[in-house]
Amino acid sequence: MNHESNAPSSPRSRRLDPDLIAGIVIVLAAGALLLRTAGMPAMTALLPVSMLSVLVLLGVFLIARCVIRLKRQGDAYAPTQVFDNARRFLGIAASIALYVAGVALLGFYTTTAVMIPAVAWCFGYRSLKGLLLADLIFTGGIAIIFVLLMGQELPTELFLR
Amino acid sequence: MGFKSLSVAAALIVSCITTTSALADYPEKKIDMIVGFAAGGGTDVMARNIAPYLEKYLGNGVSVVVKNMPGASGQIGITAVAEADPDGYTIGTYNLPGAMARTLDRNADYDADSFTYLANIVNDPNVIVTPKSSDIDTMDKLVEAAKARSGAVTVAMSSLGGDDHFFLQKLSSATDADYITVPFSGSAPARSALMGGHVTMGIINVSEVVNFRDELNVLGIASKERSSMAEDIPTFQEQGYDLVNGALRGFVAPAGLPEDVESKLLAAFQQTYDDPDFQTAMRKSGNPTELALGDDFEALNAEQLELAKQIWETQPWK
Amino acid sequence: MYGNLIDALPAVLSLGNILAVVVGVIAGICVGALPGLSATMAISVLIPFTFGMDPLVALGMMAGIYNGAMYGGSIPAVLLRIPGTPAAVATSFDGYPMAQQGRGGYALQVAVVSSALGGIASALVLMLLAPPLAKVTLLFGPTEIFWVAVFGMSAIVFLLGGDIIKGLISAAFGVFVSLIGVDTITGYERYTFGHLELLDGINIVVLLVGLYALPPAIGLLEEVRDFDTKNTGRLNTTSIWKAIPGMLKYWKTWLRSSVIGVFVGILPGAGGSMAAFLSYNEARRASKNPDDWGKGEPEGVAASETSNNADTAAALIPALTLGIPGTAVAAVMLGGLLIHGLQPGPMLFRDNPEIVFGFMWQFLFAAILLIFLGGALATNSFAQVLRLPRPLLGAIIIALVFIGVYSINNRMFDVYLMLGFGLIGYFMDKLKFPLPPVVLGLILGGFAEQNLRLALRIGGGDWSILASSPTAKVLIAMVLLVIVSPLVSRRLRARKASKVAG
Repeated sequence: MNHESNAPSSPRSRRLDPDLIAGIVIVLAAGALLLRTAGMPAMTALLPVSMLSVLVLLGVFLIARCVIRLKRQGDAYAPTQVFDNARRFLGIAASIALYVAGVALLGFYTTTAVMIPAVAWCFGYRSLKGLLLADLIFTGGIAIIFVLLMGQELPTELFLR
Repeated sequence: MGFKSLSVAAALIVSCITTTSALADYPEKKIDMIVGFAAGGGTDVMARNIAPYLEKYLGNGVSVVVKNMPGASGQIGITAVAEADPDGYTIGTYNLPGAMARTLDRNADYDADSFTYLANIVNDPNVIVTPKSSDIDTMDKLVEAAKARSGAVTVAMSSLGGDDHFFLQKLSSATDADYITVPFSGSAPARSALMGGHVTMGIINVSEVVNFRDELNVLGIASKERSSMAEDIPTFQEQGYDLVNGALRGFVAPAGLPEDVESKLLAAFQQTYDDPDFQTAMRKSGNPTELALGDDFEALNAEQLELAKQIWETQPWK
Repeated sequence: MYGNLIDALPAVLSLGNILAVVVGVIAGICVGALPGLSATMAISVLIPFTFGMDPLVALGMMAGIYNGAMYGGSIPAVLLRIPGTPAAVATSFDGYPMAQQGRGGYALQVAVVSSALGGIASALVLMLLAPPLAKVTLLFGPTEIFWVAVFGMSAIVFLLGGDIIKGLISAAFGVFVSLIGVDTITGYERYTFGHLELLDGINIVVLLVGLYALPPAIGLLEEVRDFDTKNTGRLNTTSIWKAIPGMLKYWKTWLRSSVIGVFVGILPGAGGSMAAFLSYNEARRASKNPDDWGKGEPEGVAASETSNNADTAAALIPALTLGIPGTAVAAVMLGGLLIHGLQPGPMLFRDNPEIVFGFMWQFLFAAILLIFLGGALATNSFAQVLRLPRPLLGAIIIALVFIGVYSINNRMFDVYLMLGFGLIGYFMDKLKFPLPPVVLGLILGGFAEQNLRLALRIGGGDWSILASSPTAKVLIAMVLLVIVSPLVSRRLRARKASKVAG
């Protein structure tokens, strides 16, 4: 996925059509999964094999269509742009991953209380008062509902385990 | 391997530490009761019914908290129990023959030695049922139909490798006939398919049939004595077929429980079982009870494992 | 039987029980309206909590949550194109375009009125026709259920969108995902890669949240622009009672969608999303201007919302009488009954009539309450929440999504799985692969396969069993009709057009 994000910058790779990449990914993934049907009983394998074969076939169609379009339209062909802002996307993906890892390691309430203002701040909401208020209402509200009312456990805090 | 022995060593150290602390007055903090099924299932209801009685008989104002860890027909929960610290603060529900059958047909991270067997509480015998519209309403007619043409009798059941499946294998060898398994996902869909007459016969448990007595023919029950939930269903032994089988639900703790903790837990389970209020609650929730405590439960487990092995070797179900 | 209904009424009308329904409806609307949370999750969290409560209080809350969430799911579907429940996917088809045109308020009013009507119809059917309809359910063995699934699949055709190749890829992907887990018939584990958590297959909520709630949350954070809320616009704040007379023209859709919702509800396993897709499809086919659909046609919102609420109480008919829930939420609710020692079956109606019939009344009240509680009040307050500054909203949705997925089974694994689907969903969205076929494929793919194979086992491998029963024959005829009739009508229209031209 990484080379995709660089696509708009260099003129040579401008022709790198995301549909083409998608087609290749689909064919490869479905093909790899198709190999795993080998050991299955016949009736068990029937639907997976047919679905994956259809996926491979459709992936090939997708690739072929991209190639044909590219040939016909040449430089005039403008593939769909995936990222409005690739750096932002990577930042968001990283913060989601960090958040989930944090919840698993540190506990739900601590991580959430840190994540909400931090993420909102990083991505453009800069009102300190608003951030703190929203954080308090949200994390506090969840704590009241889950801990006090329901007695339902979300991943426990590190210091309470 | 190295990692495994390391973790065993670590577990031993941990258990030593906890043992010494447990020597104080068990229980001194909350006890987690892990249930391998979602809230509202038969196993969950049993756990929630028993929890307050355990609290009462363990004393010390302890709280027993039910934790649902559903998935993989109970295996996720059982694995969590097997891997927990053996300090008496984690116990879990245990379903037979499923728990042992999974050690044969799947890669399970536990085996029969991973547990301290506390108490089996529920014994839910299998029954054979046929649709009301069917003219097969006795065992003799059923066996006749099964022998007449191979594959003529289709059997609805709730899953592969469960108590109903094992019962079918026993039936198959006792009657020397072949049956076609039709594994639904769960006993309610199997029962509905029976009521609609889409299959010839079904194997379910007595607790699942008591509310549907008028809609189904019940040919017999696979217990040694008639069930108090349905006195009028004859046992298979009465009818000349030596078939005893059922679904068992009980409680285990991780292996290596300190002895004083174990004896306290066993005493609490015994007292709970003897409590008439508990028995009433279990009857109300449709759970036929039969106690097997400690060593008896362990022997019962060994017996079930042996049976599962036998079937797995001769007629693997997958 | 109807005497029992009257006898059960006084208990339901006690203050505590009424309050339980009110609290349930409000909680349900909130849960449905918050992206990432679902009715399935809310009821699974609630069930252990209700152990030891009075059964009618517990059941009243569940009835309220179920009805409330089915409507609540339409709020983010309309305002953010994030369906709050699986059944609200079809609501977003026309609801979101309406919001973009500044008619979001009206879309929500149509949604709340349609939801309430569907819910009322469903509750009445449950109260008056449960035992005879349970007999209908029994007619559906594996063979017949297979044909119902095929019938539902026919809705895929219109979900494919403009790009057929991409639409089919989405559908095939959905069906493939439905095959993950133990093959219940041979016991073989398909694509579980040794993970116990995958053995039971992939929960629809995990997929839905991943595909539908996570990418928009990323989108909210991605925008560099100022946080204007232009596209959700100012909501129409005229009173709902003034808006209702203008909606009466949808009566045919209301009626048709109620029937479809109830019918899908009494069939085991299909669920509200299939009801919504089918009734959207049927309403569109019956419409005079099918080309406007998907571009902001209020009737589309009406069709989808009526049927997903008409499915609620009806799904309890097989659940209460046979123990086979009609939807995923009904399955969780069945647990809520069992925990109070209420075992499904004919005896339930005889042994505990005051609870069973009281529960039915509560469904009716919950549906009626929707108009009052789901009207201007809830709609406007949620519209305000959804108009929070976008980075903040994005961050909050991420946290909600976590809670919603984690709480279903209390495990992190589902969260990781959801993140994976989120990544896939993000790229699918950007590359314009349609998402609805994935949802329909997941719901119906494995479901059709399992029933087909059960049918073949029953028939001893003989495929002719698929057309053996009268019910199956009727269903086959219906499937053919759905496939053939658009072709015929297109030809007729073409002929008419050429006549006019000539």
